[in-house]
Amino acid sequence: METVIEVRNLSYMYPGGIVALKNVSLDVYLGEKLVILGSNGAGKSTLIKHFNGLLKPQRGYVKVFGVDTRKASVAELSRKVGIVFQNPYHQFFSEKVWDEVAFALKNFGYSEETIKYRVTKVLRLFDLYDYADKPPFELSSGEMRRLAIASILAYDPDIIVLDEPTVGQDRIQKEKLKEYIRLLSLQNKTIILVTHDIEFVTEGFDRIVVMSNGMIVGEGSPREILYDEELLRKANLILPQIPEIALKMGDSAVFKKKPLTEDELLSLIVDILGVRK
Amino acid sequence: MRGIMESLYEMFIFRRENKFLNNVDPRMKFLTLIILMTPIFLTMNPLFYMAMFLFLLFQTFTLANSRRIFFSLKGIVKLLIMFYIVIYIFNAYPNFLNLEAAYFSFISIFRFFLLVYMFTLFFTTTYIDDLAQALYKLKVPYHVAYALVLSVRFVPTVARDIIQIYDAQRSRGLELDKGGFFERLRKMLPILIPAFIISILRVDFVAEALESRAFGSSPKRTFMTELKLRKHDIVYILLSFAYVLTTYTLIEGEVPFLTWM
Ligand SMILES: Nc1ncnc2c1ncn2[C@@H]1O[C@H](COP(=O)(O)OP(=O)(O)O)[C@@H](O)[C@H]1O
Ligand SMILES: [Mg+2]
Repeated sequence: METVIEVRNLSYMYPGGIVALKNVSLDVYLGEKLVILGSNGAGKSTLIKHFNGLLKPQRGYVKVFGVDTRKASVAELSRKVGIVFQNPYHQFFSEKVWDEVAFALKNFGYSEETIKYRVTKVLRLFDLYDYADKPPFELSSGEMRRLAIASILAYDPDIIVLDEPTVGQDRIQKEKLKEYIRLLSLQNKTIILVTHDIEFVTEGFDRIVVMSNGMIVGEGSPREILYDEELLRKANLILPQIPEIALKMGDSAVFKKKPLTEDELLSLIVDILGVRK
Repeated sequence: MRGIMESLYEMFIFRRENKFLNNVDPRMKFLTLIILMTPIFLTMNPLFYMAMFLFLLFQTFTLANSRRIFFSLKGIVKLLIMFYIVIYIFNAYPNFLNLEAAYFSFISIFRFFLLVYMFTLFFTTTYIDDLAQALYKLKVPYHVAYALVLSVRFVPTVARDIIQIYDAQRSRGLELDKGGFFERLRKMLPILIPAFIISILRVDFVAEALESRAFGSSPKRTFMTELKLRKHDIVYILLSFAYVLTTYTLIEGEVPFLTWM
């Protein structure tokens, strides 16, 4: 597996004296859908700000496609690593949705023609094309979130980092978001999802890294991590609903199957009850 | 940019610290601030400025959280160096190898730096609600005093916002340090516009929160912890006064404050 981001012994302390990262090491592989899971204040955002050089390592190093982030500018790194931040209000400034999406493309010096083509394409993909002439602030919160993602995807980075994309989103929006993530993954993008929303990551991701107090405390497949009650408790997280129900059933078959979705749980129940053969 | 915002954040965020200055009554601290500030406007003598600087340093190390104060100052010092260059250019024009202008600009910046340092010392060690209480006790209507609280209270919040916005726009390829002067000014817009919008929206939230808790429904109010003058407050202000008086008299050859009467 090809490593696209290599984090080694990374430590970072904020000016106020808060140690946000302690000796973090992590590899991100090409094309995977990785989750960085952790409660508020665990250091997730601080970690991902190292991926495009917004923060430079105080100790240890971060390499993106083999390039040390200390030796490259934020603009250079951002072309490869697109970060969508948590709060869309922290980036919208244009009068029109269209300009908001074109902003990064202009900064990176694309031609008028390319810009027109890419903006149209990404607005269509995210069902925002009808709003192209609207002010970004008049959109609903779900549309704003999509616009924030679209404004990054427009320039087609290889790695896409989504910081807490589910905050303030209802169930329908979350399902849509998951659909977009699946679409991106089909285009061989590497996706890093940063969240404390443990229910959101039960389905559709390859690997989960758990952070707590500035450290990586666990790593594994969703099935391993989301059934590790002790690890989650240590990280100030609680079991997602389906593993919790499954564990409460107390049947040995649970540990063999470790259901994560409604369907898996249902088929396990059916198996145990022996209703259907 | 990020550095300056982080400094502002450290300067105005409230943290309880058990240092001497943090426990001085804000009224006395404010009076002391005025006593320290006044003579700076009376003279341009670098020797006296140096004496004041040493006094502030002394207070920083012995009476306050020095680490935090130096960090708050760090961003400002960077800004002052830029100011220095601008002032020098104005003073020196059209002869740019000008020792006199260099000296004069330095003194101006030194004076400004001392003022900033004093305010930093004051704000990093003062709980702003206590300051509002002090004003209230001086018969300032509480809603006026509270306006001051709000403006200071939201400096760290806005500073954090600006850091976030700065990071977000740089992630979208904005390069603030490229281009000519006007180009750079124009590039500030993607940072300033979201900051304004967020602040305006926040005003609404705060107004609602205040009203829903009946702010201002009665002109009288009580406080959880009442301010009380204690002995060490008086000692602090007297010693500060004595220091300023002595150094000024020794260095300038005349007694400050008296000359005004
Ligand atoms: N700009 C900053 N200055 C000082 N402390 C910060 C700053 N940003 C974050 N922190 C602190 O660093 C810690 C980790 O924050 P963060 O990386 O945002 O966590 P997460 O994204 O997991 O919620 C928190 O304790 C937070 O308060
Ligand atoms: Mg975060």
